[in-house]
Amino acid sequence: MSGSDVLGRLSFRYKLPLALTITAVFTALVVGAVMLAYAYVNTRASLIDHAESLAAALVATARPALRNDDVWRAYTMLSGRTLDANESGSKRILLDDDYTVFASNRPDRFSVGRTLEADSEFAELGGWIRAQGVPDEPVVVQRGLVDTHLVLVAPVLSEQIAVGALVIAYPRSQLIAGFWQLVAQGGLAIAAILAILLPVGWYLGHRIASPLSQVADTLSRFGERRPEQIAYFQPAPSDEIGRLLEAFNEMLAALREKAALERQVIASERLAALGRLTATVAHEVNNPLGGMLISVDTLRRREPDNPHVQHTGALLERGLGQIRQTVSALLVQGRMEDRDLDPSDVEDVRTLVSSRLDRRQARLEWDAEIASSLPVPATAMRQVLINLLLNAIDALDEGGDWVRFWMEHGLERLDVTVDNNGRAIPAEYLDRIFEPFTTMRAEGTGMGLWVTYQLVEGLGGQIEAHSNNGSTRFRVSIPLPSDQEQAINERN
Amino acid sequence: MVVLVAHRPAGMRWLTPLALMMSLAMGIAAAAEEPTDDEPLRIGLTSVFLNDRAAFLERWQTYLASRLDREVEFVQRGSYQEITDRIRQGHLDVAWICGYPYVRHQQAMRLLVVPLFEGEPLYRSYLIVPADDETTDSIEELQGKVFAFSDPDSNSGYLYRRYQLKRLGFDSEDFFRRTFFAHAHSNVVEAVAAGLADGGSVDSYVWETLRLHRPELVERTRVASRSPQFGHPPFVARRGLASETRAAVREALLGMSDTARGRELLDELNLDGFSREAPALYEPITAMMHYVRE
Repeated sequence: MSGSDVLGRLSFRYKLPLALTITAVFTALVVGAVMLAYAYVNTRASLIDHAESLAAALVATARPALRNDDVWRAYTMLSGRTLDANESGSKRILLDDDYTVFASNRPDRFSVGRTLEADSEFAELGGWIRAQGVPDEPVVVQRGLVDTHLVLVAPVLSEQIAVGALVIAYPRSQLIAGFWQLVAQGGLAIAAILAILLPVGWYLGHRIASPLSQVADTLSRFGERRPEQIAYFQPAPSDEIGRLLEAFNEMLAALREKAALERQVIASERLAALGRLTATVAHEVNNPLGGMLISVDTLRRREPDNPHVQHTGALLERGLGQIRQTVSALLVQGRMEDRDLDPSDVEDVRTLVSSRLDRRQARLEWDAEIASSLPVPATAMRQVLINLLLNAIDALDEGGDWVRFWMEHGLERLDVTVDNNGRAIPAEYLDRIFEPFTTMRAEGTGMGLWVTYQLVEGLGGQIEAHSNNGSTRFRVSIPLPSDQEQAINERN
Repeated sequence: MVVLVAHRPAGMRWLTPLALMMSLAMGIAAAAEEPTDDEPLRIGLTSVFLNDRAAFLERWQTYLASRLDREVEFVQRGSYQEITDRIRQGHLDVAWICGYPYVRHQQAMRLLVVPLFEGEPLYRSYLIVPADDETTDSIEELQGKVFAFSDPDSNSGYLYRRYQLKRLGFDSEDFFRRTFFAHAHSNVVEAVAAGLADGGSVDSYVWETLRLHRPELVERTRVASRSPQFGHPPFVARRGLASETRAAVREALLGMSDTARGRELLDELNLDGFSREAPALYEPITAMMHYVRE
């Protein structure tokens, strides 16, 4: 498995924080390295600066000390504690014009009257000064002469003639120790910065990445769940991710709508197919049924005294009558020649259902604003209203105590809403509620809503059912024919 | 003009009636013959271990001022020469100088008192070497080395060593590889302790006193040999100083061992007191001076 595969597979939830972390660490290291390099150069430069200004100050005192042969004065000047409090390891040596030590701050090592060559570490430097002569101005000697020290040689001039030389040497170990101290300090500072940056980076990265991974997770579940089972995302700020979530929400809404539409289409197609099937079957059953009833009647008339015929004939008549009843219930005639719906029809319905409601001690809220007759077939419409109201009242079995009826019309539609707060209809029933023989009650025939549906279809209207925790609602919407249509209908 | 003030400092209680009368008489006499009498009494100091002890000098100055009923000013200079010159020229009234300049300029000064060190008005010259030099016990062994003298006007720190070397048949200029003056005995101790010099010559009084005050420095040196005793560096007065003033200063110094505060100061000076001595005490130094000059 190659590295890029691993990286490619890694969740954004980790990839982004990781990227931020790596960036922070890398930046900190680069900045730290640059600062340290700068600090090293700077430390060295400031040490040289320091040595030069120290030399300038010391040379002014060294001149009279050399002239007066005043070793003590030179010594106190070179060993002055205040000159170089920080550089305890530094060496300051005043050479006279014979290149022998006139005084030094380390008389135990560079003793008066000896040459630098007597010291193994500074021997080469001594040889170099002797061969070269005292330089005209302060010079930092090349590293090879004294490996272990950073050395400045400054002339002590009297009227342009060198009467001595001042050697100032700082141990490189001190420079390096100072540098490592800087490294340690820098390292600490970087660690402190990272200690802040890393959690912040991790948090930010996580925050940016987590909506993305949620979207990814949700999208991957689309196959196994229905759109309405998938939750919308909370609105986010309008950056790219916010727009993504918004688009996702829009898509989810469209999918939900589409799914609902599909279910509706499937349900109505199924109902239509069922309608055609039942009509055909009913017709096929009805045709021989009429003949069979006439035959039984004829047989019973011919043999009035034969008890066996009479008995069997009566049995056949009752059975065939029940078949005809069932078949005629299946064969709903939507468009029937009928009178218009009248306000009194609605009042009749109210009277009919009220007695049933009283028995259950439930409340009926009634709001029907029908002022005059409406061009809707009265019998069919009465049947629809009664069916819906009786269903609603039956649903009150489990805890419900009210039914609300609401009827209103405009110029184009008549709308009826029937609500109850009784037993809810489970989702699996809701899809098939208008199919025949679908019932939730033990004693129900499952024909009521089928008939209602057929009637509404026949009237060119729509019916829908909703049920949730609190209440169940049926809505019926019937188109009212325009005056023109009405005129044509009447002529027919 | 000096007048006795109504509010005497506490130290005045210790003044004997005689001293009181003397200082009173001296004040009047001085006022009569010396127009500069209301100026402070200037005392020059060379015993250089005192240089960095300003607080102590302040207390000593206050003490003497209260005893003399006159302002006292201590004057310090970097070399013996300057103090010697100043008292010869009359710029100082009193000075604590080495026996060598005293004998050289005896005609210009009067001996006042001599400090008592370890009970005697005497001291020695110590030949000191770094403590890690455990073998050297004579100056001959330092031939060709670096040697630190204290001051060209010092007996113990210079004259005696020249005398000693001359007696041994050497010239101090050639005997050592290099010599230098550190201008104070305490500096000689430092130079030897630091290894700047392989040997040095110091005043025994200064070395012993430094051992009390700065043991960590003195421990790094070792006394290789001790000279015979000489008259301790004396307090001298300039020739022209009024005899009453001279007497008052002498009494004030002599009286230090009689007062508690005076004894405290003497303790800090590591001295037992002061005594009156005859100039003859310094004859051995005179003799050395003549020997060296020959």
